[in-house]
Amino acid sequence: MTEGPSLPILYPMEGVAGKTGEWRTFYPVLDPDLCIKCNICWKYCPDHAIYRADREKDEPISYDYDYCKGCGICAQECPKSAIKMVPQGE
Amino acid sequence: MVVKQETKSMTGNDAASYAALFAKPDVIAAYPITPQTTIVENLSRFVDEGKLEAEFVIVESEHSALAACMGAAWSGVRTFTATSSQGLLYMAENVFWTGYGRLPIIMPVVNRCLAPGWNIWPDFQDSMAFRDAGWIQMYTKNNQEVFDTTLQAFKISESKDIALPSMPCLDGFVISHTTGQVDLPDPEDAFEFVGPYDDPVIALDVENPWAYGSMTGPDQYSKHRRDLMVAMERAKKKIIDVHKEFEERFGRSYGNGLIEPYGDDEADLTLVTLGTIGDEAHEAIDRLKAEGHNVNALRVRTFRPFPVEDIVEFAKKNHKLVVIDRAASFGHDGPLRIEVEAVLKRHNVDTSVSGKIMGLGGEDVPYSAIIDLAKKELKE
Repeated sequence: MTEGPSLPILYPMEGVAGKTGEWRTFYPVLDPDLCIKCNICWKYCPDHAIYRADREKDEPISYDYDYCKGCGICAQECPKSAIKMVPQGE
Repeated sequence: MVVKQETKSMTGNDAASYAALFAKPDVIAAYPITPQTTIVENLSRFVDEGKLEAEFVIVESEHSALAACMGAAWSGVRTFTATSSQGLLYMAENVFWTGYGRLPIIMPVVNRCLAPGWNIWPDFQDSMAFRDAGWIQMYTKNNQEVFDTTLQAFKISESKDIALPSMPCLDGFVISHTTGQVDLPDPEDAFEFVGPYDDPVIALDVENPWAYGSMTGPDQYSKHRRDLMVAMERAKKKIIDVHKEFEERFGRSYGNGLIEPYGDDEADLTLVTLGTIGDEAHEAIDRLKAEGHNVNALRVRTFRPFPVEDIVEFAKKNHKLVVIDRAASFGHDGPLRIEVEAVLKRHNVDTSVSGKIMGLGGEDVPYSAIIDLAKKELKE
């Protein structure tokens, strides 16, 4: 087999572009009392930065702040308005 | 031993489509634009008649045609399309994606000038605009060479150590729509020469998925481009080797595959050309020699990669190169002249270089006009 060319290919792995959470200007804060564990935010998160809620254990969703870029889609989609976007540093 | 072949009469477009038919591409996607239309029309018919087992994808634009070919190439199959002029421009984004992405797609370009004004006759402005897109570009002089070059292109491009797309270039109308003599080999002999595409440059793997062309940092990006530069350099030898193998099997050759000299090794004046003007220059040379002038010609068959060493060696033995360009780099000069001049300067060859831009928008360049040019240059 001949060695192939240098190709612009990436294989899936965690953090290939570094800790993209550093790009954030707003960060999401969940009010766990309002969370109904529907996991809609988890489905919408484009960065796979939400750990899903576990209904059996009654655990709400939580965030992986290393990779959450703070886009706010979760806050927008939450049917209970349980997620607030807060400026970094506050 | 040279295989048996059958002489047919066909247009340059037909010749391109027969080369594709014999190479058996798995996917063809096209949005035909004048004057390349009949290349893909023929292939569509071959598929319809059951002569070719290929997926023929009808798309809604040239941009989509090349995008569909890129998708097919990523899956690891032999891929073909054809285009021309405005269609090539519409593809622009994906032309670079294909070249820089190292996808070995074969795409004959029927050279036709660019609008405005609207005109469907030949010049090289269209493909010259994609000189730096990472594609192999070979300019042909007649219908036979279109067939031969297109067939060779599969073997060159798909080789894993090359992995570059190819644009066999053919003059619009002068080749594309003009009937001429073409010796066609038996389809099986032609396919045996090309071989199957069984060690693909890249292939979809659902067990080990990848993302293509995503965010790439400067270090990695530069590495890809340097690799492309090196592959282009390697392609020179590959083109010569494949051309030689083709000659042994089918009995036809075009110089060494990179350049095609005509006449004596040494002359007072050399006509340097691309495409069909190269064929017309032969007539001019024969007539000038009959009048006692010491002239020869050099047709640059492969423009990318640029045959630097071959041109330097040729120029060392000659005194005055007159480059005929069928395209213009506005604000400078004809692209072929610019490059020939630069190469000689860099290699300290003091052969003089002059040139003329001729034949834009299909303006006829008969041997008489070439003779007039040569005589004028001989006096200077």
